Amino acid sequence: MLRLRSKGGEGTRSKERRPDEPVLSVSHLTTEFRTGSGWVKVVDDISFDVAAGEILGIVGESGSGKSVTCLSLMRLLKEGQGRITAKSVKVDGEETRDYGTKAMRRLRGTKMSMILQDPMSSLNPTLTIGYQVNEALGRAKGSGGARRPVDSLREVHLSSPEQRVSQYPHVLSGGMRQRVCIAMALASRPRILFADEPTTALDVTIQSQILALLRRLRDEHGTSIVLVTHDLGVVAQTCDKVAVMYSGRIVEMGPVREVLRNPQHPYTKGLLAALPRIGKTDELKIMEGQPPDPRALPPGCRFGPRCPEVDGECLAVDPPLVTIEPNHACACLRIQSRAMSEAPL
Amino acid sequence: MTGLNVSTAKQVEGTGATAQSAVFELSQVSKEFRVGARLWPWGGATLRAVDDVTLRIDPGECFGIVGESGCGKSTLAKLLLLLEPISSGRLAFHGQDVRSFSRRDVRRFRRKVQAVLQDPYSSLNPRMSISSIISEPMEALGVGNRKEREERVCTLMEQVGLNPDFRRRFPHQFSGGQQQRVAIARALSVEPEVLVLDEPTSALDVSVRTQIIRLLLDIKSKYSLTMVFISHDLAVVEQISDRVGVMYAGEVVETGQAKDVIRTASHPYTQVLTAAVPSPDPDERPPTRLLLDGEIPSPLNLPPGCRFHPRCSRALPQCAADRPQLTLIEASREAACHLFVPSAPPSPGANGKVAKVS
Repeated sequence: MLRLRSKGGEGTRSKERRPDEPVLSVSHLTTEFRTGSGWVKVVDDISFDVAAGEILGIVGESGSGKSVTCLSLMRLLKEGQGRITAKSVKVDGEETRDYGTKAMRRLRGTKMSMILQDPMSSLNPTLTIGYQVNEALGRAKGSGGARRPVDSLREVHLSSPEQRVSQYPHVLSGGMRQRVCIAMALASRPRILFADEPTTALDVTIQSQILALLRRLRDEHGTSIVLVTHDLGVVAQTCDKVAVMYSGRIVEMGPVREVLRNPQHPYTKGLLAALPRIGKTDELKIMEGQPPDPRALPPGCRFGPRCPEVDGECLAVDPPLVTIEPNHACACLRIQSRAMSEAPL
Repeated sequence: MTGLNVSTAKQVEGTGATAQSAVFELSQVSKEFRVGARLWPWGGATLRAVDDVTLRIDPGECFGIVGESGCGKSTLAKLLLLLEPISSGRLAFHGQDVRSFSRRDVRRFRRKVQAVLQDPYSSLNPRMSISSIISEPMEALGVGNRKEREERVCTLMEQVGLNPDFRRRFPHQFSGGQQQRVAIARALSVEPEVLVLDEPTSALDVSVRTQIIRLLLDIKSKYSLTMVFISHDLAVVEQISDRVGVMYAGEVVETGQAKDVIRTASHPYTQVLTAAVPSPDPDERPPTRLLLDGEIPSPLNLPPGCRFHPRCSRALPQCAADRPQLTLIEASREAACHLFVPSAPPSPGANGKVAKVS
């Protein structure tokens, strides 16, 4: 078993984050994969910040690059499988861009951790719950203090934790397993938690319990959370800020209320209109077509071929993500030109 | 297509009782499985996946079945498709008890009732071309000759929004949404009367899901199909269904018009279920009192009385003892809950059950 020593705090303390600085700051991140037809950009030049205690939702359809963004930042992609480039990736004030395997392993144990969609495949079926949580706690002794697995499990509201520690994962239901995963991820009291579709495999009533738990843990410990999901409802009920991804790019980003109540990008608008909602059966609008193949992207705006508001310029110029209102950014030429013409008034 | 005319669907939607026979009529249908009988020394246990379900599905309607995983909704689909025999009760198709079906009847039944399943990729044979996938049910049931089948494949592909030029391609060359369209075309190939759809949109992305919902609504009105639509997604079910049944731990706890049941739930379980669906409007937060603790009970160890009472915030003393029966609570609406029967508790006998509504 790999044992991690918490290396003398002196080195890292000098890199400590200023209070106003974001906990996670990503600038110009690009991830490419090698395929039969050359390198394919799955995440293309995205930048975002997550403030202390903030929950950022990354929302998009399958293949939009939202999971790969998390895996790239955690550096969990296999060597040789892909190529990650970035101008800067700051985690809790620490520049991690040039970190090697060892340094990243130290960060993953302490400052950043992750929970995944399928809680069964993230737990070892041959070890007891207590052993696995203890392992996570043991790694974090340097920063988290010596807590017992039972306390960690109680913290995530797992029922009868005293019995659970000696049980194996298959005994637990999906919701309970996800609670165990959250307990393990939070063992080190990380500054930032990546949650990749944490509730997609769960039922709605269990989903609402897990989302409430994430919000409560954020309130209690000030952990920043990056929540990857395809469900705009989950974003609306959980997140503070949202980034909408389409075909490897962030097309719209801003405070949740602002983006979901007043969407600017035609893709966000289309996605919201295409969402079946309870009590609104007449308003469903179809978004035709499907996201482009990342190996053969259309020229200009990637949403252009599906966009109802498309015009000639859109098919030629790739729109940058530009701030249109304070805190609200959108990558659409038409919105930007409209905002520009209104600005002088 | 089928002998049904469009007016049938209209009649059913109205509250007026029709003299027509139901497509499916279930009375007190149960399905039990023996589990672990060989593995465990204490002889295994009986799992009641579907428990005492009484339902009626009328021609031309779309009946939605909602519930969480493990509530028995997929087992119910298997019973309706005759893929599993029922353990007790009576299941009738057009008035005929399925237990009396001869092999020939079953063959005829297969042509009339077709299925679309959740994961389109695993329900399509990766080694067969789209054309042979769509024409396979016709071959199996001896419909048309080779040329007619080929023509029908092209028409069907156009109907479900696929380019017929792609009929020589293989499933992996299609996206998830397109694969689901292939599965729908295959189900339609033998001109069925009933489509049983088990979570047909759950594996799809938002924009594609809406496209498939629209396609299903189109083919339903075009062929006046009867549909059984099973899903855990309440918003999708409300969109597509006329009537809906909510299941919990093997039982149907509430039925009625889809819009009424989902928008103004009566049964406490339906209430928490609808409140748990996250709204995409950040200002619409659910009332916190409706957040549910605990989990769905194990079907091996069901609580006595009402199955929902250990988690129910409005449980009465009799809930732990008496099992509530589905009772008419208002026009075309039934719920199985003691809150709606303030007077005498229903008699445990079968005759106290369900007056039919549609």
